[in-house]
Amino acid sequence: MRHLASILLVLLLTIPSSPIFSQGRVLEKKQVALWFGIRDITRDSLANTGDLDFLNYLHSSDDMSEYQYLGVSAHLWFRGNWEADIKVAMYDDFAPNNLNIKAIWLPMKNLGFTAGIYTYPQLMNEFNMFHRLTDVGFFGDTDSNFRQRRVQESGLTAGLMIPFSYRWLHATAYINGGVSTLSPFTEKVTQKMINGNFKREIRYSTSHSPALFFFPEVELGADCFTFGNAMAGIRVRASWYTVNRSVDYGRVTYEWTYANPARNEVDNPAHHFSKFEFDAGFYLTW
Amino acid sequence: MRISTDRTTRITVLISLAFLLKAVSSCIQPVFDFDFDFNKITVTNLDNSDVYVMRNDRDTMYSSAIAFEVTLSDEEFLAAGSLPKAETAFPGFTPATAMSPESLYHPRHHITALRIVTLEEMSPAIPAGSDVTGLFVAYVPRYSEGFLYIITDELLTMINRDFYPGEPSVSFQLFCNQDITASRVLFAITVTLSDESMLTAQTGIVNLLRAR
Repeated sequence: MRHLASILLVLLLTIPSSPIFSQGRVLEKKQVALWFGIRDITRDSLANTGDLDFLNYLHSSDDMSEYQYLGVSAHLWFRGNWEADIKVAMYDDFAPNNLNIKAIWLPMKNLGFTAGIYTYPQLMNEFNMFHRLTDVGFFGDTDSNFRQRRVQESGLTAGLMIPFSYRWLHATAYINGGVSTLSPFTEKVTQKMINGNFKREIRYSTSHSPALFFFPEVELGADCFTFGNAMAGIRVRASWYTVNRSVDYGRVTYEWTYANPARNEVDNPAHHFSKFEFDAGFYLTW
Repeated sequence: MRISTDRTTRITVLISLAFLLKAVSSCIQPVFDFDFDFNKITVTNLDNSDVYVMRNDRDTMYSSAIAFEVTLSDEEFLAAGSLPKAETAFPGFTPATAMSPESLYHPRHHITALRIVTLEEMSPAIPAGSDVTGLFVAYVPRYSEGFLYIITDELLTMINRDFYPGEPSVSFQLFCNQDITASRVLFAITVTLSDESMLTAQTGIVNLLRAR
């Protein structure tokens, strides 16, 4: 994913200036933008049951935003009512792994249809707290490190695009929906009885978790000044993403030795999850 | 001023130089491989009440945390130290090397069996004199992989090595997998070697505490 995102980032920066896409032949218009944004996560935290529910540990806080990102984007207007919108963003690790790529067909001036892919990472923190809290009489996790992992949510989107322009003001609304999944992962928790020799190792292996999501976006742009054939402006964008998802897994429990493990398949309840994003920046259209 | 040397002096100087060169740039390869015998067994108490096991100098353990460390070694080798020996006693300097290789100790006999016998009644079902090897699991600090224990049958495969680096000894830890109801325990641990010889050591009497 990281390599794919890097390639896309390079293409994003080079395609608009490529001669093959020179004005009038394939492309009618091009726009590149640079922006900075925040992402606020809201998720259900369900009561502990007998099984670990990883979705209780997706990073979420009372702060205004859990994540901040820097992004670049390109919007290409092709001949024949086709457009492409490519957004790539990164957290402070500068890994360009937030992608929002759409192909757009506009049969009417103010209505288009979109299809694309959407993916972004988020953090899952201290899921071992489940064992530390519920496994009384045990050192719930003998790994004393801060347990954190990254999960990538990826989906296919389709929807409507409603563009509107009035003089120097440009507004676009996207009403997207689709199917997304969290990347499967494996985790291990090792436990030891307090004042006892008994040891246990629990291995989790999550499965794909496809779920329907709804993802509306609104973009506003204002042309500010021109130089040559180019127009520079400012842009803001807001989006909301909501999904109901459960993460199920297989669990293998070893006790004392690695012989004769107990195997379970665990189905967890669905959690409501939503995120709100707001970003602002500059664009250049030519 | 002219210094004149006779023939005898020149030959003496040449021979001395040759000897000095030979002494400084010795061609002797130090030997870092040794053969040894397991002839000593020692047992120490372990404290496994916390996350990580530690040495226990006391004679008390929790009733569900009975644990010992057994060390098999060559007593004479350990007493003599393990300095690398030269093949021949040539009066020269040891060649300089960037890093001294670790000594490798090859056992003359491998371990064929482990037996643990309780010398105190552990419960009405386990009277004194019972073979309780199956009530123990093991961990080999330098060689075990993973977090959990191994069964004592796997222990022999784990501790029998072609050679032991560093010192002529091998240690393994034994953990009782039962919560013992008796108030004290005492075990005899016997290791049988491939030459049919046996090494036996007794644990001290261990007073048991019940975890609250």
